[in-house]
Amino acid sequence: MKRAVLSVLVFVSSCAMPLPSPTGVVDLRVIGASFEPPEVLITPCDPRLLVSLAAGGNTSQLDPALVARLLVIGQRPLTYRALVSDPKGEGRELSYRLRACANTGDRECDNTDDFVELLSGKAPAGEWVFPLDGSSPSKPLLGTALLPDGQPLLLEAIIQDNSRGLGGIRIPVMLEVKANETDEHIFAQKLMVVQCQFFPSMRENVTPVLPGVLLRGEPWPEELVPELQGYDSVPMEPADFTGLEEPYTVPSLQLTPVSLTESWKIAWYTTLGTMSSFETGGTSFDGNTERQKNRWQPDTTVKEPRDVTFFFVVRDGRGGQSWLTRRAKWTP
Amino acid sequence: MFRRSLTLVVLLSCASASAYENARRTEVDGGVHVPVLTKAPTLVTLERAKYPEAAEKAGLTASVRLLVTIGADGTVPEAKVVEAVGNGFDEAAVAALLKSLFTPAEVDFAPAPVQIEFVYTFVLTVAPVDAGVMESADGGYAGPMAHLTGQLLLRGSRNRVNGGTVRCVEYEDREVVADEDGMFDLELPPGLCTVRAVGAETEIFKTTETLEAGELKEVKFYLFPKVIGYQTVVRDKRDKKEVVRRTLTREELQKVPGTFGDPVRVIQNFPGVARAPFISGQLIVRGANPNQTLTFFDGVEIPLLFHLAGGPSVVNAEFLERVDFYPGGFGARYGRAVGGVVDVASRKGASDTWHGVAKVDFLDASIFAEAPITKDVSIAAAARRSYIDVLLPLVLPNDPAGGAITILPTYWDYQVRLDVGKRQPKNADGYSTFSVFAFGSDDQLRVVASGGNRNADIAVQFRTLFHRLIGNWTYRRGNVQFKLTPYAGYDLASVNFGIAKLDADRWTQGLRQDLSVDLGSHVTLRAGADIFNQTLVGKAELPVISGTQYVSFPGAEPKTETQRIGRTVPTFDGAVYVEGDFKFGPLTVTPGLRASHAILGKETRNAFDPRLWMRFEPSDWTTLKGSIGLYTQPPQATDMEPPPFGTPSLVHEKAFQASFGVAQKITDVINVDVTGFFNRRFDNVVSPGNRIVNEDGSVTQNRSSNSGLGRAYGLEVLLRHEVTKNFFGWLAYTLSRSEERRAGSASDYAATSFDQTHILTAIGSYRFPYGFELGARFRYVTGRPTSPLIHDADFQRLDANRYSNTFGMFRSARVSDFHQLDIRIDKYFVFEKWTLNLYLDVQNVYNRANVEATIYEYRGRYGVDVPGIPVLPILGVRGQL
Repeated sequence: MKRAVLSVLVFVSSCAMPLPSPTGVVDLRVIGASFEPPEVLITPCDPRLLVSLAAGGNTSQLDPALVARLLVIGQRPLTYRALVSDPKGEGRELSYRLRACANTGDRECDNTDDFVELLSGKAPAGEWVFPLDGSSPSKPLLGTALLPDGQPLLLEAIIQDNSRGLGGIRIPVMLEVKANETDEHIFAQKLMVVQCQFFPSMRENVTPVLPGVLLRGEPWPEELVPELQGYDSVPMEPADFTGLEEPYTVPSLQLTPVSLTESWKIAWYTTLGTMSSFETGGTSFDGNTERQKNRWQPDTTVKEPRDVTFFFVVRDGRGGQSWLTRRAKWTP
Repeated sequence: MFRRSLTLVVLLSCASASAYENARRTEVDGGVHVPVLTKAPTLVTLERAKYPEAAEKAGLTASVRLLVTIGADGTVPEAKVVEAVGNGFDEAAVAALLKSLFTPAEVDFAPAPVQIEFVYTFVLTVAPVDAGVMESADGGYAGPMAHLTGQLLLRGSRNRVNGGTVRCVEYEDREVVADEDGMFDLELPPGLCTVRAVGAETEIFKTTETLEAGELKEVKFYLFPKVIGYQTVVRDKRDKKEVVRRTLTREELQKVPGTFGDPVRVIQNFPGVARAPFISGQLIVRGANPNQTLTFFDGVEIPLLFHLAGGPSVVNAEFLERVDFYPGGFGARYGRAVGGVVDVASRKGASDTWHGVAKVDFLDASIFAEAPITKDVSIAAAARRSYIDVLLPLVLPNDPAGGAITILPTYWDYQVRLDVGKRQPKNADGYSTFSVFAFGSDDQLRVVASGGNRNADIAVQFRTLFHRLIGNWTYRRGNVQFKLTPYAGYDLASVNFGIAKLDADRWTQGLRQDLSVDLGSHVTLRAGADIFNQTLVGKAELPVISGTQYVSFPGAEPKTETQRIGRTVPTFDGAVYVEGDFKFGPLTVTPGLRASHAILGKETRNAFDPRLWMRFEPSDWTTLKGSIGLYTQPPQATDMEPPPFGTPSLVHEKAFQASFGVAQKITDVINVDVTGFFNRRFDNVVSPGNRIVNEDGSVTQNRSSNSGLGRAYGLEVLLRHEVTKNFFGWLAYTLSRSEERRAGSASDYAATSFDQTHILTAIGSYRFPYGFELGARFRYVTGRPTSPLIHDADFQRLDANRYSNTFGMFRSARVSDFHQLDIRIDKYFVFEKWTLNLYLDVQNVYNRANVEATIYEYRGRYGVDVPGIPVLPILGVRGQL
């Protein structure tokens, strides 16, 4: 017990070490990214199709219509969004590249012959929106992309997935952001999910959207820029989203349906001070669902009035993601 | 037998408490024949030394400490001075001892030569006092005599002062020697008697008694011990075939600084054992995983080693007789382990009178008591209970979240042992001894954090409980020893965490049988069976487990349905073993084989472990030794459940172990042991196992596989000063390398996470006058391997909302070296019938900030080292009757 108590003390002391909070956005950050739609469903779908495709086998015994459906599913238009914050950048232009690859473990998504360059350019920080609908060369389709060796990206993603798409065909899309002046360099990976409909109860995922944010228990509309004063912490929480979390079905490893319900998790960010919790909500492994309360703590070392931006990013645990942004004026 | 017994050394004299200790000592290592001192020598005739003339004139007195060899016939062929005092006392004492006579000591109930420490005390006599008594015709007293009768007891412990002398200064020629129970009867003329009583390990006791003619006066004299704290230690040279067996006595187990008197943690200070992180009690032996080293209590495996997964060991230190540690190359009697073995021997209850120990520190209190019931029946019992659940709320800070936090850890344990058997059987038909030993432990932890501004209430409850009942029948006849050890047990493991509930009941039955036969002086055979049967009945209520039952997606765990799982998992492991010592002069060759058949759930597995040991003893001072062998460990039956919860195809883990060493005695109490070893482990169980996608699209995810490979090699040095009157200690050094990889992986061997190139431990404990004792432990250990952090960009996984750190070559760097000094100070207060011991154990005296872990900035740009414990004093109180 002595050792257990001491270990806890050491752990607690380590928690108190002066490490920065991830809630404080003080330099170049990618706050979030999303696809719209967040998931493309192949309906209906036979799991043997994926296995056969991954093995390079003969698919003639399968429903030709299904094979054709898989091949055309990549025609589905997508929109990629990224929220980029650069509080110290003063509007500078940032270099970006967006590419897709087949291996989720490819940290930079640039293994030779294993990635597809989607687009690149320069832009100041903010919400970046990249349509991927095939309407022009600068808006390529993701699902029909071919790797340099001619292999369809979608097929290669199945091959490289050790579950052969049972948990969804996951295509990593990498946003690389660089600030040349400061050598800040970020690789931010977002997964695009193409899901087989193994059971009729499986439905295509819908992007989670927070209905709003409460400041000190009161609604905080986007156009409202409240004045906050002092160093006392300020309570915040999301508006009630009961009923928006979707029930959904996934296949078990034995191909039986497993019924689940989304349990949204919210990540909290501020450009001044810190939030008491980095993330709220979600369901822990013991089955308990967390509440969504949080508090903003102003930076006590700052003595001048500041404009503060808050970001609230919601994730549904299936690849769906969206965010809200709020602003406030703070005086000490 | 003679060769073995010749070196049997009894430290601290027969006079101190040997009868008590000898009665308590028992043969607990059934498979390996252990010579046991079954009867201590007692003094029959002590030749009066010639008082050195010059010293007498100068009024000098002295006590000469001698190492006395007592032959099988009770004579003294040799007496050596241990601490010379000069002035002619040393020579006079040696001359007197060489003419003295003892009752022969007995080893395994047969007369045998032994060595004891003996203190000869020179006391100046005073002129006889004229007591005015009747004189006989020859000038002597002619009337009725008086009797001063009674018992010599050691002050502070009430141990019998066996062999102590009692006399009146007025009648010096009437000196008597106390028997093994400390009893004496001094016949005297009536009148004043200026009593002088002394034992070999006591100060001279002085008092006066006035006796009437014909009076029988009963007294008890409490003699002050010269050395306080240590009790008699019987140290023999046990037959051993293993290249390395480290044995710790109770004194060493309780006094090593920095271990809180925890017997299992003391083993961590031996060569071959890596330093465990923080102050956990894990045994990481020669590169093996902690779960590959088994711990036995009287030969029966115990399911739990520490209270609350990191607290004190469940075995109360007061109940221990001895701990044997085999870092590798252990005998065929032991199996189911590919690392090392720890065998803890419990102590037999006292046969002289009742004794007790009570101990209190800031976390728990324990009590130990032992007593004879009849001449041949004794009992010992111990119990311990924590009270941290009471104290913790007093020191916990207020809940920073503004709610309520409740942390209630509790534990208790118990041990009871009953022994039945004759101590000194002489009958030719053989004899039996019996014992029944029950012990158990219960740990509970309840943590509740709720309310305030926290987003998640926490309600966690753990419980682990076990009971074991071990019987023992030992039969000895001539050169045959037969031992039967049946045992049974019950374990409970329970976890309640939110809506998740897990309960596992395990019912265990087993039987050990050991037979040892000496076929003359050249051959000894040992054989036995080791049968283990266990049934686990488990039930669980769990959410559907992402990643195990379905493919998970990063980011936010979903709400799931609760599933109920029930399992009954049988385990059977039946093993037989045989090994024999074949002696060719100084060379002993011991081949051995252990064969086992296991039923693990629905699977069966067999294993055959051939082993070979060789010893070459060119002299009593030097031993060369070597061993090679195969060691196997079955997988847990629960690991062989169908996927995804297990892997039915698992087989035994295996290790090829080889070692070679030399042991050299430097003095009677100092020896050095140097051992080189090479261990090759294969079929190690590692997780996760293989993932197979079936043709129908389903996935078979094996939880683990036998693809682990490991190798460890190195050199171990142990320079040891055995427990003597004032000092014990050792210097342990290990130079080693332990590596691992996965079969089929493209990666080469890499250092294991516990690889520590240099491990140096120095331990010493010395007794000072006035009841003070000071111990110190210093450790230096090479920093553990780590992978260097490299940051040239932030790698962000937006679905999981986490960053990935970038590391250089796997475990190619090391954290800074570890070094630490711990000290322990004991102060003994000796009262007439009991002894009070205050102790202060200070960890990390110079407050070294040793690196125990590293935490990283959230983007992986840099790391911050987490230091281990700072300077930490622990105060405790121990009372001993």
